[in-house]
Amino acid sequence: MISFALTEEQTLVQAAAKQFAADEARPAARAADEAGEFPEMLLRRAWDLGLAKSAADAEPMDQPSVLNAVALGEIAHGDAALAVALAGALGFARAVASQGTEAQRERHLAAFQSDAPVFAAVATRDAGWFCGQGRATRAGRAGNGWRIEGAKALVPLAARCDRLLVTAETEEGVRGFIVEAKSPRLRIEPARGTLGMRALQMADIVLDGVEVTDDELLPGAMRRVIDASRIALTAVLGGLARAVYEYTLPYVKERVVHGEPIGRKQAVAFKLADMHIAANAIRWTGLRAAAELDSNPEAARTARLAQRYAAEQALKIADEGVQLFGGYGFIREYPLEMWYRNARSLSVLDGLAGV
Amino acid sequence: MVSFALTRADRAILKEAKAQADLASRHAREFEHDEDRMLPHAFPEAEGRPDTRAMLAHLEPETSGAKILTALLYLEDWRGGVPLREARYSLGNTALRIAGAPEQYERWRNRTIAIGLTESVGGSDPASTRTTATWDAAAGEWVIEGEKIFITYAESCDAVLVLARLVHPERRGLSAFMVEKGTPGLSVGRQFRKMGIRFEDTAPLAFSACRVPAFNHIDGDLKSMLRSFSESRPVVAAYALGVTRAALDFTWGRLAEIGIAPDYDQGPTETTAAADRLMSLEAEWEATWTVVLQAKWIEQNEGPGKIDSSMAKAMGGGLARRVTQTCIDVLGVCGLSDAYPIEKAFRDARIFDIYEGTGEVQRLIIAREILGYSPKELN
Ligand SMILES: Cc1cc2nc3c(=O)[nH]c(=O)nc-3n(C[C@H](O)[C@H](O)[C@H](O)COP(=O)(O)OP(=O)(O)OC[C@H]3O[C@@H](n4cnc5c(N)ncnc54)[C@H](O)[C@@H]3O)c2cc1C
Repeated sequence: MISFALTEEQTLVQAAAKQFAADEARPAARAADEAGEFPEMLLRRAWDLGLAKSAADAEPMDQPSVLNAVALGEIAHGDAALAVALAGALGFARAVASQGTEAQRERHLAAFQSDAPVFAAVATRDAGWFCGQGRATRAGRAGNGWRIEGAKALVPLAARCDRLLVTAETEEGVRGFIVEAKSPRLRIEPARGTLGMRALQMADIVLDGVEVTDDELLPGAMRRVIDASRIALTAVLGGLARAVYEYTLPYVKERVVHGEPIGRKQAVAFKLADMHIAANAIRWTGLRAAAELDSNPEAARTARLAQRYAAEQALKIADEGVQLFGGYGFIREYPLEMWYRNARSLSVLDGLAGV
Repeated sequence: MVSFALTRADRAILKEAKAQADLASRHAREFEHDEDRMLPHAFPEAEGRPDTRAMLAHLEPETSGAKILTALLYLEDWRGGVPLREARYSLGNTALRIAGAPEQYERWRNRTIAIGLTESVGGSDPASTRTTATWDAAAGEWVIEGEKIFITYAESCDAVLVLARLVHPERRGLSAFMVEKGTPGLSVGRQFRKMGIRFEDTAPLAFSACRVPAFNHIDGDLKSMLRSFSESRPVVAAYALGVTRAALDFTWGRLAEIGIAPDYDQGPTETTAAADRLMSLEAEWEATWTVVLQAKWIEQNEGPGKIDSSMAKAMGGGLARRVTQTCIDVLGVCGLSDAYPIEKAFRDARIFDIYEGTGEVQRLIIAREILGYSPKELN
């Protein structure tokens, strides 16, 4: 039955995330971007929302993808980078909780119940074709376990991750391996300065024949993990897009040029209308994919298309945000240029939990 | 709970609708050179097949709701190019239901009612209406004078709901009147020769000393009558979804012949430009579908939202233009040939950003609402 109504639980989580985003994430975002790192306290406060804890719970919750998408969207409304920082742990926890063996859940999810933030990543995407090694990550049988070769590009908070879910091509298709960050022959490159999402300290990870035992192979295909990461990315892009729209709306009513508010000119007002249309569509196309993943074995098509739509539209919205603020859009005193850099960065990703 | 899962009844109805759309598609071109021909009540293939609207009426409690399903049924009609069974979405009927008194609605509910708003001057601005309705106190009748253009169902309707300026000792402003076919003084002009949607009946109407009884005055406020657009605009976006679905399916079908298929895991650098462009349109299609359903869901639950239908309509209008333009790019020069459905989709699709409020008018409505501007402040 078609429905656009959030459950009570989802509404409560949404309200908490929204409050956190407004009170804590948004005010800290600029400084974190400038410093290229998050304050510890902020990460801790974000962790206190309890999202990753409940994602790691063995008890299946109702519509986990919808719940996470709603929460990530709200946090991203405050700061998209912070939402991504949480998404890594969320993605990892969901994947292991829903697909992992009992032993894997015991080994890797206990940490998520602690009060200190746990960092993890789902590294799905190999280095791009023109940068880095350009080689696909592959895993082959080696004795009783596996040997993984390859590189993952620009993994968020790579240096802080304790665990990674690494995807690699095997003879049976793409599979996921749980890899400890401290494994021998796993190298985390120095963090790179990046266009946007700078506080994430994204870094390349090189797997130079990393050996893992057979029991670190995640059962099942990676389909759901990839779909979930695209849904998370859609949610973050949606939150960012809404942030730009809501910030721009009052400005065009206040900014007086040629004797009247710029918002009274159609060239400006229609842009706001388009931003509103697209921000709403990103939100619902993303929640639709989330709901589909929650009640089906996979949501490959809708998740991909939602992410694609979100990527195109969020970039457009952030771009118009800069434009509507004129020179103020370009200077770092205002958030528009940061949102534009963040939108460009996010919209080139394939999914959230990796690149 | 957020859900996009169709119910069993939804699926049964839509399955039949899809089958009927496929049957109807063979008739889609019959009107191209025969524009005066009216759409038949039903094509022969409808024989022995259930009427999907009747199925919906029967199964409604088990569906996702009549409004959502109705929009999806129109999507299928338009995917087929012409409806197998004529199912008019007649705006006049909606307007009468919303603005008419109960006895007025009772009187005409089973008739097809065209809506006559547009005149030759400034169709986007109802305030520029020049058609008049003059009160004849002696006869207790209204006398309508004026001309309307681009009226859908002008020829095939039973009555028209016409917007006119009141000429009355105590009253002024705009109001609506029901004028039945056969009323002396009402005449239908020649069918317009259109770029597309040639199966649709579109003609001008002229009113000359056209008298209607006081009963025919739909004295609801004009705003509430114009609100009927809030119900119909997402349906127009659903038409756009239908035409573009057919265009995308055709284009993917041809690409498959040269080994290009959608792959939801490939990024832009790993695929062909053709597939990548279509993927972007698929994403926009799904987003539009979602927002059309959102508008209808809100309407089912709390009545039409202020701007939700305009949002759906604006998305549908833009989607229709982009999809059909790009499909021809991707298909290349053969896409121009009338041997294939794509050139027709291109012509048909262009109307959706024009009628029932242009894309600009939708943006005006949305912008006024979100910015809190009156029509005077933003026009
Ligand atoms: C096939 C067909 C069927 C139709 N069916 C019906 C029907 O059944 N009943 C009926 O009453 N009408 C009908 N119409 C009329 C249709 O609704 C109008 O054509 C439409 O509303 C636009 O009006 P117009 O053609 O006068 O264009 P105009 O109003 O002259 O607009 C021209 C251009 O100016 C833009 N514009 C206008 N005002 C503004 C503004 N304030 N700000 C920015 N841009 C603006 C418009 O968006 C458009 O791009 C039909 C039209 C067609 C082609």
